[in-house]
Amino acid sequence: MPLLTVKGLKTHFETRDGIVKAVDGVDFTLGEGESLGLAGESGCGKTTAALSIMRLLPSNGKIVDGTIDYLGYDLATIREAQLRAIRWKHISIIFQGAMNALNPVKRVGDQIAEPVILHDKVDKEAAMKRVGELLELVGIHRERAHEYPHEFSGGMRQRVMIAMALACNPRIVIADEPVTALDVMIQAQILELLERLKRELDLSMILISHDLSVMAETCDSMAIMYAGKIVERGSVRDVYKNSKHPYTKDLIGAFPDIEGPQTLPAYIPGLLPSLINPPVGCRFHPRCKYAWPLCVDQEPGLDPVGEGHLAACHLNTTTPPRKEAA
Amino acid sequence: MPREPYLVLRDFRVWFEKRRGFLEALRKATPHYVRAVDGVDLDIGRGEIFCLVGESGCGKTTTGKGILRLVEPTGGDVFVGVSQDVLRRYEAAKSGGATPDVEGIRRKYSLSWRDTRPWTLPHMILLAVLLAIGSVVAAGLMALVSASAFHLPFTNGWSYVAYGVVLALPLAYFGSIPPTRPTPRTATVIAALAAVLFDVSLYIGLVFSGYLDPAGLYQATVWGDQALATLGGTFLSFVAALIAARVLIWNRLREEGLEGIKIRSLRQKLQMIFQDPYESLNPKQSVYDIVAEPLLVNGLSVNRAETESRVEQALTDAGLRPPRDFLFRYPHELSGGQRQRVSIAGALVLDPEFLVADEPVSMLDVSIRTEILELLVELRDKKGLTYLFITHDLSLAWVLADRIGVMYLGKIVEEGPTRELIKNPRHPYTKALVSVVPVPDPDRRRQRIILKGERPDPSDIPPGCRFHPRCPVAFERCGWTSGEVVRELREVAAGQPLGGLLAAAQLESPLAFAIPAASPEVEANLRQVIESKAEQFRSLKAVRFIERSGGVLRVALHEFSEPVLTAVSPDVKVSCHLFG
Repeated sequence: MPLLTVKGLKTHFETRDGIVKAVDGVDFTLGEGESLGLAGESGCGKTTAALSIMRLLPSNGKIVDGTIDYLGYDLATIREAQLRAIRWKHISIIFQGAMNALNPVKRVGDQIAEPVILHDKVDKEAAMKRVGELLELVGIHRERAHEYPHEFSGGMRQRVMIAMALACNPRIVIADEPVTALDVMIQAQILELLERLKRELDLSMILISHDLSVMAETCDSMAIMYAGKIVERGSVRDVYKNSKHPYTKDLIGAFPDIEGPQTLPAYIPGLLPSLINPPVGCRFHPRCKYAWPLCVDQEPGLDPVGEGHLAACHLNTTTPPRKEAA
Repeated sequence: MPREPYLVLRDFRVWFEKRRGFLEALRKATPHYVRAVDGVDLDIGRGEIFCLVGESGCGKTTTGKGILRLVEPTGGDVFVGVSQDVLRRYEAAKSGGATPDVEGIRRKYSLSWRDTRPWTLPHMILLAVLLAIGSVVAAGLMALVSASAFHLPFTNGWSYVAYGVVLALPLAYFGSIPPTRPTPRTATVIAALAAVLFDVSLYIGLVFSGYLDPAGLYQATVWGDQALATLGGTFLSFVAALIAARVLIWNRLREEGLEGIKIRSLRQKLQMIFQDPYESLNPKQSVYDIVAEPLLVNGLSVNRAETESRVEQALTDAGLRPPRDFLFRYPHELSGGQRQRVSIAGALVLDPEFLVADEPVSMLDVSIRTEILELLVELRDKKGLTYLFITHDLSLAWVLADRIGVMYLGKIVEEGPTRELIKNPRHPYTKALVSVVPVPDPDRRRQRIILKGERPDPSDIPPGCRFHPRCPVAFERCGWTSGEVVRELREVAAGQPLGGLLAAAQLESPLAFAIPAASPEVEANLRQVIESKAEQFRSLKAVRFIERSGGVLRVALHEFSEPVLTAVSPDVKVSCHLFG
C-alpha cells in the first residue's frame, strides 16, 4: 500500500510569454520506507512536482489537474488549513540551496524551533530541547544552536536544513538537490547522513537531483523526467541497467564514470524543449536518435515494460520501420 | 616521454591580507593572510590538458587567476613558453643560492615578477640634490625669463625654451624610474605634467617677481606680447619630456624584462574561460561586441572588416555556425551551451596559446556538457592549445585530463598522469577523494573513505602536513601539536581519572605539555588510553615519552616537519611523509 500516490498531476505557470506547462501529467507512488529519486535536467519539472505535493508553489503556479493522495487526503484539493496540519508534521522538505535557505539574522536554533513550536504546540524551552536532539542527530554539537547561519560552513548549513526538516517527525521527507553545490567529500558526508536517518527514523524520501550518479548510490526507485513528463520509472536497477527509454540511456551515458573508459561521454544533441510549446507527439523526438514518424504523430503512454518498470516510448510497443531500427 | 613544459610555476603564492581593525593597524600588528595559494610547483607541457582538482576553497581558481595576474601573486614565479635552457639556469641558480642570477632571470622571464624595489637612501639623496640644483637653476632662469619678458634686452623667447627643457628632463627622469610603473601611458602623463608645470611655474614666477598683477592674467604679458614664445615653451617642454620619458622607459623595459607593456602582450596568449556563462557575459552587449572587445582593447584590429572577419572566425572555431546567425544576438537569446561557446570565442579571438578553463561545464546541463568538452579537446588538437582545467569533479578529470594535480589548502598534494593518479592514488587525501566519487551504476557500491570534518580555514593552516588533522593514516611526525593532543585526550578520556586532570593541563611548548598533580594511576591510565585508542585518535600517536616527576606528568611529542612534493616514480609526485 503506497504512502503517497500522485496521479495525472499537472502544474502550470502563467507567464507573460504564455502558459508554462512545467509538470504535465505525472504519475508516481511512494511506498513506506522507500526512497524515490526524481531525476532530470534543469527545467524538466522535478522541483515543481515536489513543490506541488507540498502546495508551496509561487503565486503564478497552479495545480490544474490530477490528484495527490496521502492517507486518503487529496493534497491537491484539500483546504489550506487541513494542509497545514500535514505540512512539516507529515511531509517536510529540504529546500534547494542550503547556502541561502536559512534566515541570516536569526539564530540557527530559533529557526529549527519555529516549526516545533508551531506544529507541536510546545513552549520555547521544550522546543529548544528538541532542537538540541535534532542537531545531535545530524552531527552538530548542540551548543551551536546559538550561532548564526554565517558561522556555519556549507555542509553544516545543509545539516541544519536537514534537522529542520526532521523537526516534527515527518513520515516523508522531500530533498530537493540536497548535495548540489557541495564538495564531493561533504556530499558523501551528507548522503551518508541521509541514508542513516532514513534507516533510523524509518523515513520515506523523495530525492530530487540532476546527478544520476548520486541517485544510483542512494535511491531504491527512480523516475526520470523530461519536459514535464515522466519518461521512465522503476527500480534503480531496472532504470540504470535495463533502460527502456532512449533519453534515460543517453542521460546515463552522458555522465563520466571514474571506473569506466577514459573517454569523453556521449552527449544528447539539440536543446531542451520549450515548456510553453512542447513538441507534439513524444517530447523527446527532436533529440532522439531512434525517432520515426509515429513519434511525431502520437504521444507514447507510460506503459509497463517489466515488473514495476514503466517507460513511455514507442520502441517498447511498436516495431519501428526497419530502416531506422538500431 | 614528458612534453616540453609550456607553463611552469615555482613556489607560486597568492595571499590575501585580512582586513585589520583600525587599532590593530595603528599598532602595526603583523598582518594576517589568507594563504589561498601557498607554494605551488607545477609543470604543464605544451598541448597538454592539465586538471587541477580539489574541494572548494583549496585555491584552484586562485591559482588560475594568479597565473593571468587577474589577482596579484604574492610570490613565486610563472614562466610561460620559456626555453628549457633558461629554466635549467634558473633551477641551477636557485639551488646554488645565487640570488642576483635568480633575480636576473625572474626579472626577464617570470610573469609574476614585480618591481618592488623601494626607494633606497642613495636614491633619495640623489633626488634631493638634483631637486636642489634644479630649483636653483629654475629660479635663476625664471628670474631671467621674467626679466627678459619685460625690460631686459634679450627678449627673444629662447629663454622660455631653455626653461621648458630644463624643467622637462629631470621630470622625465624621475617619472620613469621605479617605483613608477612603466605603462604606455606613463610617458604621456609625464609630458603633460611638464607642460602644465611650465605654465604654472612661469605664472607664479611672474607674480612673485612683481611683474604681473595676478588679477590681470589675461591682459598680462605672458599671454599678450610673448604669447608665441610662451606657447612654444609649453609645447617644447611637452615634447622634450615625452621623448625623454619614452627613451628612458624603453631602456628600462629592455633592462628589466617583463613589466608593463610586455605583460599585456603575453596576456593575449593566456586567456580564461569562466565558470558561469550566465554571469560572465554582459547582457547589454551583443555577441559581436563581446567577442570583438578583446581585439579593440588590445588595438589588434585595423579596421571594422578585419574585426568582423576575426570575430566570425572565432565564432566558427567555437562551434557557433554559421557565425552570421549569432553576431547580433544578445546573451539572453542563447542557451547555456551557446553562451559558453560565446565565452570561448571571446578567448579564442586573440589566438591564445594557453587557456585557463575554470569549471567551464559545471553550470551546464549534463546532456550538453560533452559538446563543450569535445570542443575544447578539438581546439587542442587543431591549434595546439594548452589547458589548465579547473574542476572539482574527479570523474570529469578522469575522462578529460592528460595529467591531474590534486590541491589541498593551497598546495598540490599529488600530481601525475591521469590513469596512474586515479587507479593508484598514493596520497591519503587523493585516495579519499577518489573513493567518494559517485558512479552512475547502482550495482557498483564502492568502499568509501569519508573524511571527518571540513577543510581548515586557509588563514590558519595546520602546522606540519596541512592535511594531518583529517588524515585517516596520520602518524608521529605529521604535525601534531600539544594543543591538538590535549584536545583529543579530553575527548577520549572523559569520565576516566585522567579526564578531570586534563582540564588543568598546561601547554609548555608546541611539542610538550604537563598534567599537574598526577598519581601513578593517572599515568597508567594515560598509557593505556594511548595504547588502545591511538589507531582511532591519530594524534595520540605523536606522544614520544611520558615522564612523571614530583607529581607532574610531562608528555613530550615527536618532532614534525612539512612534507615536500617529491617524485615517487618518474612522473608522479606526492607530498606525504608516508613516501620518503
